[in-house]
Amino acid sequence: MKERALAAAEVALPPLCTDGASAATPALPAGADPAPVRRSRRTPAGWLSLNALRLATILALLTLWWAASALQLVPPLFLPPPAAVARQAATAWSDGFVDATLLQHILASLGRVFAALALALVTAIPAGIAIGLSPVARGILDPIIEFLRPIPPLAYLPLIVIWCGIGELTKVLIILIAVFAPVAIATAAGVAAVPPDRVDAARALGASRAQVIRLVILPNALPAILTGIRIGLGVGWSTLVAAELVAATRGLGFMIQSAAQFLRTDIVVMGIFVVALVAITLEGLVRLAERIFVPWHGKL
Amino acid sequence: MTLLAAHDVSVTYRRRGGQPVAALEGVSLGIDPGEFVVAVGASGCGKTTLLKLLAGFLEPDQGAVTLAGKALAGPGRERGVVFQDDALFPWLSVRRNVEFGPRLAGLSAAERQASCGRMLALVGLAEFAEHKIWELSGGMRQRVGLARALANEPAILLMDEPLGALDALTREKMQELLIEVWARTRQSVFLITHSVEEAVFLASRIVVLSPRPGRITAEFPCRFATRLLAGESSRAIKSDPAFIALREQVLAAVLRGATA
Ligand SMILES: Nc1ncnc2c1ncn2[C@@H]1O[C@H](COP(=O)(O)OP(=O)(O)O)[C@@H](O)[C@H]1O
Ligand SMILES: [Mg+2]
Repeated sequence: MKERALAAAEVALPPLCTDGASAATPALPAGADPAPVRRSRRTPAGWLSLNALRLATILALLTLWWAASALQLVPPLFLPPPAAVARQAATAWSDGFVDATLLQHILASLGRVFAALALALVTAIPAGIAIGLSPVARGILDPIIEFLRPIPPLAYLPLIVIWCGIGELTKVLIILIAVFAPVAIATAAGVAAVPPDRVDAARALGASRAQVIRLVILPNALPAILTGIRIGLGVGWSTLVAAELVAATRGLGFMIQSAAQFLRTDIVVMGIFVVALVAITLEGLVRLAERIFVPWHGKL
Repeated sequence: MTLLAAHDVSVTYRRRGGQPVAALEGVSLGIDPGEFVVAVGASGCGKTTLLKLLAGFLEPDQGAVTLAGKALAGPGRERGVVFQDDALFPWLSVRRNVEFGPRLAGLSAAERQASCGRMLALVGLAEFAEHKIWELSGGMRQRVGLARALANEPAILLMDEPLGALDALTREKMQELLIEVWARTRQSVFLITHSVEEAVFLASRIVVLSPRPGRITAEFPCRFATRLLAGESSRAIKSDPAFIALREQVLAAVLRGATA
């Protein structure tokens, strides 16, 4: 219901105000058609104060951090000043740290996540479809997923290292296991939630069972699948960085771990920021994909 | 010859843990080519169940459903279905929704385009072919649903309370549209409604269903739709004493069934 209300507010808004950037500037001339849903967070005024609040929080935290280190309240070994962290980012970008530039570390980590995601798409989505369609498949796959899902990935990392060594395969497998459950579960839920009338409509129009699955059930489950990918990518990314702390020669987790061994707190903090930024970017990309591929979601 | 018929069909829903519900019991109904049959009854009296049987979405526990004398095997393109909540595919444009059936039937792009254009023109949505489903109002969505069912050129249209969710004005316009489409395509129609006035206005024959178990308790021949086609206005027809008399008669039959 809430989703519906938000979507309705979005539709009701003049196009200039549908994204934050243009709404932050005074896009509406005085006396322009007022957006009908005044109380919504998405009204220009709501956007403005919400974004102002977000910005204020970030600035306040940065100032606090800067003050604490500038006044030497905390020794730099424990809390390096913001400027030092920024400097380390620039140095790591141009000169590198432990045999690789910052970009190479990022790409190494991203490569593993996307390799695992690609594997998850070709395994977890079919598994989810099978679970959603067939009680037999559900009976077979449910216990496996329910067993794997609650285990923290780092708990089975040692076992995978024993089986597969400390090469790329191990890291990709770890992430795959973490991504598999959310994607499979979301896909199964999306498949099972198809409105029976839509299936009946397609059957009455002459669709075979395979055509119903391909032309109705799959598109209908796409929003749920994308949600599963978004959750899976988040889980996979945090798992990966943790896995790289243990066994890697390149990657953001490895970079942070090496810096910690040299007591380079500035690089550790810089690494944490990069990990967060990449996570936020990934999330934003999936949301963009949702807007492109399932524009109807929440509107009907 | 009867086109689509239910012979003495019964359906009982059995839910785990719950009481079995006798949705239909011993219902027989034949629909002839060109007939506009309207089923009325209180909600919960098995109207949707009957439509699902005729559409082939559901099999009866007893009795049989036949199409041109042959036993039904599931849904088929010769029976177009229109649903109460439109059941459109929101990931497809209006055009692609209407072309869904012809595409499955393997029609060429040119043929599909021509038939889609005809159907959208018939329901008054010619300019909306490229629109998204969620950009349309409820009444327009219902018309897309109708165009989508018509695009397969079915021998009979099955409609489950297609106008139930519409406001009074849109509803009356849609009633006129249904009669026009019926006259123009010469298709048979089986339509469900809980509005007695709608039934009397649209039908060439009315069947009244009683609840639990669902049974046909009365039938009325009817011919007000032809007066609309002859040029009379909906308002004039609906306020005609003959119309009101039949409406009251049908309503009495519905109420008798509901309280029996
Ligand atoms: N899938 C189902 N499972 C159990 N009971 C059902 C199901 N569908 C309908 N019923 C019951 O059968 C009866 C007839 O339902 P339905 O055919 O939908 O009636 P109507 O369309 O006239 O409102 C109702 O009492 C309803 O609760
Ligand atoms: Mg019903």
